[in-house]
Amino acid sequence: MRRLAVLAAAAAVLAFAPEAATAADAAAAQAGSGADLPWWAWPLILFVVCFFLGIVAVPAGVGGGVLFVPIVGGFFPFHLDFVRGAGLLVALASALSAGPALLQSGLASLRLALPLAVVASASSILGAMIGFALPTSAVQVALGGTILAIVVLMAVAKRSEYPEVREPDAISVALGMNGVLVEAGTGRQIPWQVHRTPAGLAVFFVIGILAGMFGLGAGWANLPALNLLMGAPLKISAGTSSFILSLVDSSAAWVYLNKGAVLPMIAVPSVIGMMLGAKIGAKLLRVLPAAAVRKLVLALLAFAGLRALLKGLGVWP
Amino acid sequence: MTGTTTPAPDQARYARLLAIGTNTGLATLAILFGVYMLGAVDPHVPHERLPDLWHLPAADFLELVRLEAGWGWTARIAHADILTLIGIVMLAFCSVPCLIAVMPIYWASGQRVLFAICGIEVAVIAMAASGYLSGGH
Repeated sequence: MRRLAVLAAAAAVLAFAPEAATAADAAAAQAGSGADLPWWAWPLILFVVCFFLGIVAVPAGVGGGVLFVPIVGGFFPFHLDFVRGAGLLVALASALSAGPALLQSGLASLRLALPLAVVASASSILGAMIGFALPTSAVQVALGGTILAIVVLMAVAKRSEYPEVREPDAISVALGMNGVLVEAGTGRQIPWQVHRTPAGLAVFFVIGILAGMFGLGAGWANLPALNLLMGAPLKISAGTSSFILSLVDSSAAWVYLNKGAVLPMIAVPSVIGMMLGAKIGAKLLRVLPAAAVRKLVLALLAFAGLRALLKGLGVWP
Repeated sequence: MTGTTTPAPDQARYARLLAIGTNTGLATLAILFGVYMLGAVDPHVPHERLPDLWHLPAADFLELVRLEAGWGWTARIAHADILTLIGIVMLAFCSVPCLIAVMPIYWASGQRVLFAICGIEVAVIAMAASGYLSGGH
């Protein structure tokens, strides 16, 4: 009975996000650029939507940035340039806030992160520049396609708690990309190491381009790359993935700043709303049924991805 | 809680500085945005004008409000909306001191490749910040 009540509460929270987005969409359609509403209305609506997105992002295991860009880009009157700039800052602020605790607890590995972050940082600059060079409709179509691919990846990708790495590669050994994980409760020490570092570097190059081009946080790609490809334990992969974002998004954020695509009136309510929501989401982690929330969030993401695709194609302007 | 009991010296130093940088950046951002929203300092673009502009591409927006790309905004730092960018710049920059701070640890322990990687990452962020790559210097 209690579980049912909790599930109903989660569904209500999730139901609010698309409803708010649909309300925003209707208002946007009515007001064109949103000029018929008072200037403070859109930042306020944005703050509320981001607050709810932040709440559901944590139990769903989805980064705020990946939810933010397609939903706000699809249903708010802001140009995609400003939405991508704000999305990048949402992902950056979240990653920076989580970074110190992840490093102190050993759940993020600096030595594992640094080589991958250098490659992804450089390519994120390239991705941001490509995003500004392409027509907006082309970026919308590519964003929609990427979001739909992310939904499929998140739905089908397996995870491995402790992947087997029989022999680390020479690069990972030279760079000290290894460590010891201490299990809670038992105190058992589990040494870990990684392999396939060259392939990992290549994948992170592509991840950086996508992160820079669309302003998405790239945890959805970092995690499987670290866990399934390179063989890092799941918890180390999750922590290191978040930490890598703090470096990758720093580089791309500068490109958006230099291009004038960071509008404080859009970016700051988004960052504050998402971070406050994430704090509530973390507190609700034990009571919310994570699997059900994740399914609902993926459905919402698929809808937003489809919207971006159709908007870019001019089918649903 | 799962994790190593004591973080390595490089991680501990990085984490300490990152916490300071992030908290300072977020606090600055929130305070400056409060000043901007309350209208305590005049913005470069009036609040009421934004809904007519935010549906435009960033390049058109800059042209209409007479702002230069790159670091041109610093010339108008006395306006509340431009001033808010300081908080964002602090967040985008706060990894750099952390990277520089761990370099001596890698140098002292003979890990020259990690030392170089930190230096390259600082150079990448600095290059992005300069605006030369994005044509906005």
